[in-house]
Amino acid sequence: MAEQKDDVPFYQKPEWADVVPIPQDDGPNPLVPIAYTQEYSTTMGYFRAMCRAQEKSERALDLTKIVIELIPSHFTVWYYRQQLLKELNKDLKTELEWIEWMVEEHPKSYQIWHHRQVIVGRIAQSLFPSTTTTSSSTPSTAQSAEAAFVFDDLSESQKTTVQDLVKSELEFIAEALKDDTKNYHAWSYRQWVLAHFGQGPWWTGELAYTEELLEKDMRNNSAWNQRYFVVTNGFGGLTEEDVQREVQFAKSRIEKTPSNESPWVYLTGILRKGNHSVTEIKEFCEGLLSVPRANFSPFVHATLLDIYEVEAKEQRSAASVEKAKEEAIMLAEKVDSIRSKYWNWRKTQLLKIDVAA
Amino acid sequence: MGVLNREEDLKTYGYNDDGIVTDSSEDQLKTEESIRRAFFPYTQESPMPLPIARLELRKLRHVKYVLGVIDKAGTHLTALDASKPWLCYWILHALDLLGYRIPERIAVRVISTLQHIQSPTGGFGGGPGQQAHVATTYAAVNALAIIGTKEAYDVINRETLKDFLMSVKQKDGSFTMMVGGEVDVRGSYCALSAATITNIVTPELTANAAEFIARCQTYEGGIGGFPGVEAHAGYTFCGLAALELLGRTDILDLDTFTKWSASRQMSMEGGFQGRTNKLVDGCYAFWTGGIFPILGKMLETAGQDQEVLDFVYDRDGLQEYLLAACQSKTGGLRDKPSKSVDHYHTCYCLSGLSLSQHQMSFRHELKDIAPGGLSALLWTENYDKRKVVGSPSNVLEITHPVLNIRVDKVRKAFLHYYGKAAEDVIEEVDIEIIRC
Repeated sequence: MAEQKDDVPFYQKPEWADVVPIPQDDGPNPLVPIAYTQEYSTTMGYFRAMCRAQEKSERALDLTKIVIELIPSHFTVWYYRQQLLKELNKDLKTELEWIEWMVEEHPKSYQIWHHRQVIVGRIAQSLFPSTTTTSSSTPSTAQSAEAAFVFDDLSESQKTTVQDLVKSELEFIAEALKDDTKNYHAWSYRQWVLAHFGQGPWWTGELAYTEELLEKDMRNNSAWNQRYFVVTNGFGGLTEEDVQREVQFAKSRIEKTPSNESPWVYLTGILRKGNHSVTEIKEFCEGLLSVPRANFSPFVHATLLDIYEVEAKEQRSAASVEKAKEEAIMLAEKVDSIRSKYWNWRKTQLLKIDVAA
Repeated sequence: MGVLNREEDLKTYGYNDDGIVTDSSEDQLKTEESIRRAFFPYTQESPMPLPIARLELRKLRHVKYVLGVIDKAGTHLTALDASKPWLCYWILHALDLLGYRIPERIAVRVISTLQHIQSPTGGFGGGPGQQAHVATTYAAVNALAIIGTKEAYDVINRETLKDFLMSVKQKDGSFTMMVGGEVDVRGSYCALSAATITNIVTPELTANAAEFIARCQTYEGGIGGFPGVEAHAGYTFCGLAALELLGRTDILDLDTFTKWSASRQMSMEGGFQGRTNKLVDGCYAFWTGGIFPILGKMLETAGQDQEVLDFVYDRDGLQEYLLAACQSKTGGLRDKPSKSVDHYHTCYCLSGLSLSQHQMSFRHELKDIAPGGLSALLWTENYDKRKVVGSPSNVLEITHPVLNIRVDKVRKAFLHYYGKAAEDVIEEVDIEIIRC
């Protein structure tokens, strides 16, 4: 605990002498009584006293930090701290430094990441109060896909300020993702940062960032999901050029690891979003059948089933239905038997196709 | 089917890394190795394979493990000091599924404990004197419904609960987890589940709720915590169950949803993962496994025959994973063999096992007499489709596929909160069951 300068616990210091700690009121014989340490129960007694009085003071703020470091999942403390920071008009940059340290210690805490978002949301709001579009945004609606500014409307110096803030946030998140490349909270917050500050140049960098992560681990599905988020939300949405580029991107990864589910789902997802038919990758998939290790990938066959199903519905011929059926059987019996029920069900769907006489 | 008794060597069904090693494939292969060790005694590779019928759910030991904390919990559980209602729910629901009759002396303590955790402004906090939170409110309501007595139901202040839920409801249809808290799909499910059980659902509470959840469905087909965020089984169950409570599952893209859900079962392990290219975990037996009964209902509504479907996943495989890899010898269930047991995993491994044993289906033919929340009463077991892997004594009590408390406890709670209306529906359902 960086705050404590000596070994004397806070409650033995004179500035706390007037506070009467409030014991926890569990009622008689509670279920699961936890064997708290002395330090914990005493600290919480003081916290309850502060909370009940809703005291807005420096000492209360210091105490929230002590409590949070003891139990970061204690959501009541975080909310109290957020109110105190506002009331006492505290420097939020200092708060960011502390959160950085906390995230390292507790990377999977819902509360810490949300706190970061609340604080950065406030910083964003305070930058240029007159230009914010969500000036009425309260903490409860802080997590909004709505951007705080129209980036293009800002002056050059304002743009620089925003870019610096976004850059430092993205770097902070990247640091957390180094330890756990699939940290759900980190990714969630990253999307919020990207969107909250509008359409700025950071979106371009983000595409490169996902590529960098996929270079290290092309099975990192969180990075694929982020890539989808970027190409469909950044730069004003998915263009035809994006579709072509992303299809190539996914294909090249599939060629390296055909048994990797992520690029397959990405590929078909991009095609669907771009209003392209899955049949456009027919040649690509059929080509993989002649690659020794690819022809056993369930994803090659699953995609071929999708393709042949579409064709069968268009052609309505017995032969085309048969072709699709063969893939379903291959999946159910050979390459993906754990999902045989699902593939058999897909097969029954094919039988419903009205074959023209 | 199943995973223990297959034609080829277990390894054949393992992950194919295409000769390119990355962190994900390394973690996956390491996990498979430890699971193969747990499976070994039952496989053909063993010199004297044990019959699968010998797989036993060690119920007594699990009861003992679960009860172990109720009188005194170790200091390490301080980490759950803001999750007390969750502890109550995980404990009670696990006991309930194991068929352990919760004695009066425990019931009294649960009631008093939760009474002290209810916030004066509505809802339940994480412990006495704490701010109300939607997730702990969900857990508290479920825990009290499991106790299922008038004293337990009367703890809940429905008026203030309604105020609390409305205070976290957002215009876009989402819910924050608490006043000033984060938005995610857990909030939608927890709020709607608590409101449905206590019969306080209003049009204001449900406005745009389905639309928000639909925005969380990703290109993969599953549901993420927030629009744009990666599909994840925990959020997918929450989103789907919330949509079911809203009567709006039709808002999802069914094809991609079905495919994504079916794809979460692990080829060698038989258990479920929570996200693409992530590891198996026993708790997803519920979060992913819980998708299938509701998905079955959706597919039936879309004109499919449940006979063909039989849950769209391999029930033997899942049960084998839970029984052979998730049980600790000393009691309690876990994520995977390399992890230790805890109450959360014990509750959700058992919930998933129960759902896998008892095929729950929806009585579509009665839906007109059970509008709104009452439709939760139309879930009944398809007895012919019961499947208990291993010893017949492994059979668990039946859990409700949407609310995750025992079906008999759901009925009891509805009789209390909905009165005559619930009574009428239950009567019709029972007549239907006898008639079939």
